[in-house]
Amino acid sequence: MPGHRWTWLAGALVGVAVAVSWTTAAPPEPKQPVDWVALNPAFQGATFVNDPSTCQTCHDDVMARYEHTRHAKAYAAGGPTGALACESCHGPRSAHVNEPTGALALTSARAQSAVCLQCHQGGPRMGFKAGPHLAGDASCTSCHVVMEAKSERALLAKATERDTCYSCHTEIRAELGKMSHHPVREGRMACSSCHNTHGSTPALLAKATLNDTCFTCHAEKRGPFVWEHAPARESCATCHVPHGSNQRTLLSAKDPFLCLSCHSYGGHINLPRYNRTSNPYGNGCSNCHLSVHGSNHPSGAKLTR
Amino acid sequence: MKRIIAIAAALLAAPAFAQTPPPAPTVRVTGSITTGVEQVDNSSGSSKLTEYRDLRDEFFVPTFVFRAADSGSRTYFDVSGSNVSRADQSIAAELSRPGAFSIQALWNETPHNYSFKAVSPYIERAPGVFAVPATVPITFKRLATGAADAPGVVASDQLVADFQAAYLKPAPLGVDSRAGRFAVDWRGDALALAVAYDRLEKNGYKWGFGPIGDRPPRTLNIQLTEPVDYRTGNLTLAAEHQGRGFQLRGEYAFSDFANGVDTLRWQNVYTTAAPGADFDVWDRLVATSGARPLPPDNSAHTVTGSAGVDTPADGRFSAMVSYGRLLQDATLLPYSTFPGALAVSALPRASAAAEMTTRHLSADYVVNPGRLNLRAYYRWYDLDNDTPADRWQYVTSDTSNLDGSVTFLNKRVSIGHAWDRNQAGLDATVRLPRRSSLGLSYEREAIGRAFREADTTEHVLRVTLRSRPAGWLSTRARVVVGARDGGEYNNEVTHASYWYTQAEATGFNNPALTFDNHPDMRRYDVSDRARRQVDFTVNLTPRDAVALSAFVRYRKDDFDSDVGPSQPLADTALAEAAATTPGDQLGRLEDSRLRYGLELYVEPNPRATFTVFVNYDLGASFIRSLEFNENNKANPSTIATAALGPWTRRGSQWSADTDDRTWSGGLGTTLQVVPDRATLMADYTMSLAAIDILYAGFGVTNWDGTPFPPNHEFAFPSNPPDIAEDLHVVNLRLEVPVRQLAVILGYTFEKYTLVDWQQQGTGLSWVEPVGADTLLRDTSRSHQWGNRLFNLGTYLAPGYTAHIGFVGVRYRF
Repeated sequence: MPGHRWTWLAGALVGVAVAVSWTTAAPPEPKQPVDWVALNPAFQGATFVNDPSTCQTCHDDVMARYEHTRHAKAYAAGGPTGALACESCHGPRSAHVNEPTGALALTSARAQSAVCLQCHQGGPRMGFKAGPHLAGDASCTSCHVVMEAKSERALLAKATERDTCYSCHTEIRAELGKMSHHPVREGRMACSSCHNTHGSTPALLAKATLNDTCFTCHAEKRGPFVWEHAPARESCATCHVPHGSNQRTLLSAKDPFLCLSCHSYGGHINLPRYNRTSNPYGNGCSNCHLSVHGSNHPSGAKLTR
Repeated sequence: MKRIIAIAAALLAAPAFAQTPPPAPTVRVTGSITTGVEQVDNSSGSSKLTEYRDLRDEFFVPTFVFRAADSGSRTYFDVSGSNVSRADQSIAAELSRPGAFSIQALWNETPHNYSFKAVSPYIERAPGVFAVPATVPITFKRLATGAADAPGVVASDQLVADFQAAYLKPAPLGVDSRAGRFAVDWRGDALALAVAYDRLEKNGYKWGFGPIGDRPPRTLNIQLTEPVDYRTGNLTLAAEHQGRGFQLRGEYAFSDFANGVDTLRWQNVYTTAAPGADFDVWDRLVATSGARPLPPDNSAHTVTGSAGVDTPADGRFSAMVSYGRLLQDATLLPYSTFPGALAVSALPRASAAAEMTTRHLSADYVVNPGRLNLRAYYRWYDLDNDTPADRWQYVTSDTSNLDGSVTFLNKRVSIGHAWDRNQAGLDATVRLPRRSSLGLSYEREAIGRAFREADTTEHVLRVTLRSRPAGWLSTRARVVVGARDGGEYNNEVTHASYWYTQAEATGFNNPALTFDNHPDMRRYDVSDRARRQVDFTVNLTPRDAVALSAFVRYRKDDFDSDVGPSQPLADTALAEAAATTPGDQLGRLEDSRLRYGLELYVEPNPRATFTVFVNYDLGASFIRSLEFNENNKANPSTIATAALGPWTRRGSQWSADTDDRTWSGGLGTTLQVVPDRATLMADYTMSLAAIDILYAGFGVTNWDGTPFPPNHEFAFPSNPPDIAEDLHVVNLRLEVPVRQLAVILGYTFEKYTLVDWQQQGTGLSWVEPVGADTLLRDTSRSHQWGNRLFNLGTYLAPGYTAHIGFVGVRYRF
């Protein structure tokens, strides 16, 4: 794949980059305005105050931290909802100013998320409302803290993406601590490298299937091949566990026992040891059957070449 | 890649020239930079310490952040990085105007070090072409049967050891990944457009093997390094329209993988070419080199359309359809080193011509009438294999037969494995008082497979109860019951992968006439499966500053498929057509997973936090198999009392019961030891793994119960040594801020230990080193070269004790 094949793309991107730089500074209107009364009937009759300094009177400490967030910067020249910063997300607060109680709080996950989705519904979040996270009462604010920049990006509830996910998926932290693991704990990958947490796909994978997700980085195993290994074509998880394993290369069991779970052709293939140093040593069966993801050799039917 | 970076830099600068000057300076700049010097002490030099990291004794920039925001034009420019100048550096830059556009450039490097102690005699003469400075002058040039421990073979082992002592040299064994991304998003009132280009390069060497042919025991296998020179380019174009309450999105993705080295070629260290030939004359012809294809260039196109629309009753419908093509057409190597000896040496086609088509539909609908939450989904995925199913000669060896010919009877068809999946489910959750809920869900998944033993249909029922009996206490319990039905298991499906004629189907090992896998085998991915799963989680927040959570999860899969005795030869005219299997299911029979854990977080005051967590993970599996002689499938009675016996004999069964246990845990604290003057961050984490395998049956004993001696070619211990892998990590970090500066002192201690019989060359009953651990020999001392492994070394990434110190400063602006 010579580099010059992509020159046209670079040129196009330059044009796009220059073009977008002339676009107006005015933010677009939200496509899904919130019906505040539907979210909480206590909003009935409330109006927008449109004055953050009023909020600051009582919430100065919170707003000081908020000042460093991406949202604060985005709202610096006016909130995209037509209201100013605070009420874009907290709704019309006139009633709250008159009687500062928690009556206007949004308690359900769906109500909290509806506020965020008024601007963030598109792209990878298209399936969020129908996805398993929200169905399991995990709202946007379960993982994001809008009022404080605790993370370098994405206003996450914890300093890193993995720590945010570990809040609920503690067993995954344990798996990623195993010796064979993807480099998540080293910070070279993130949970979102493989998962779209805002989606609705099975296991919230970033791609339509597990294999497509794995091929993002392991395209050398994508094939297709002359000789396919059918279980591998169907799912990488037939032999691998993605988060961590005590076996080499994230295998789900120790080879040769992993291979012997499915193969009993006779002779050497049926034992962990059959007069072969190359069977119980090193990579086990794949010392010789090394093209386990598929072979492109005319004599590769047994995935040995 | 440099060109891409230069273009990315130009693009990032472009808007600055394009902008009209702002009316007033409203730019605010913030950021920080941390820099310092690191010192590393790695007791064994193990690559495991730096498996995915670059640690060096040098001055570097661990982190930097630069943010500029122009509130007038609402334009922001951020650039940040970590481990700058190192092999694990990351740099990210973004120019954006929220709601208008975003231009991103990312750069990530990740090392993957496999070993710093691997050794090999090979020299890479050209990309992918490996030669040795000399060959081994072995005297025992035979692959046919012969007496074990014959003086010639033992002497030849010593010659190999001497060769290794003379010619082994360090071999690089690691792959560096470099990933770049450039993306532009533009958002207008009616349309949002996105263009992204991702490029991933991987360069280095991983371990590989060079089998001369594939036919043990005549395989001359050698472990060597395999070059990695991969480049993957991904281009994604997307357009999205956002209306009031609905979104439409179209996306095209093109992925192009290229391998800079198409073929691995290596010299056979044991051979010297006959005059004018590319083979050596032993008791047969043996190729003087081997060749195998490396991962082929390939590409994938995917077109995706998706939509989402809000519906009444706080509902939402979202759907996605996609169509993909996978293509691979690499030029094929010849059948073997000796294609001329084949009846038909021409390949049915010169290139792979491999193609697949994927189609995918996914739809989700959620609605919330009253206290109910209803969610329904349907997914369909179809993978068609369009690769031609040609007939191939299939040569088993790059060595000739004793008569000078090569094996060709093993005729194979490249059948097109394909599959499709239909999945549908319905979740219903009713909200109960006190923020509790009860959920019930049902899912049906049906998978159809071409050229596999079974299609499967699975029904899964889940019941979930969430409760919050008190404001400080919440629980979640879930029970999952699944039943997968593999239907009628078709053992004969593999017949389609052979094309013997009836005239050729006379051998006693004829998988087209008899069977491939043992008929009692049920492959666990397509067998019946009964799944039982129980999860329970409890969260307690007795005080604002205290949070405790605990969980237990147990899942058990039972693959019992009602296997009984069968007569696989019943439909043949063979004399032993009534031969019967023992009828005990073979393969993976059970698989279970028990996990529990506890986590405590305490924040006694704003200046101190403490966390503790501990997890236990036990994976258990049980497999059973049966040893039999593949050369007597059609006439099992003739080997009724042989050690390598018939497939009808229950006494040849063996089993392996594996427990894979991991304890992991940690402590952590962030403590302002001097309020606002000095902050200490400390943590300790550990992962203690142990795997034990209880092996029983054939291998421990012969079929009649007679114990095998440890050096018998089939012998395997009833309790092979436990595998243990432990890691302890302590991190200490002290930060002392002085105005905009902060002095940082860091110290890390790591201790990693590893005991694994599969990576071990000594102290085991079945393997012994000859001269060094780079030549391992089976203790059965067979004459066959296939029981030796010329390798890169044992414990390639051994245990270590490491100390890492860091002294630096951070400057905030």
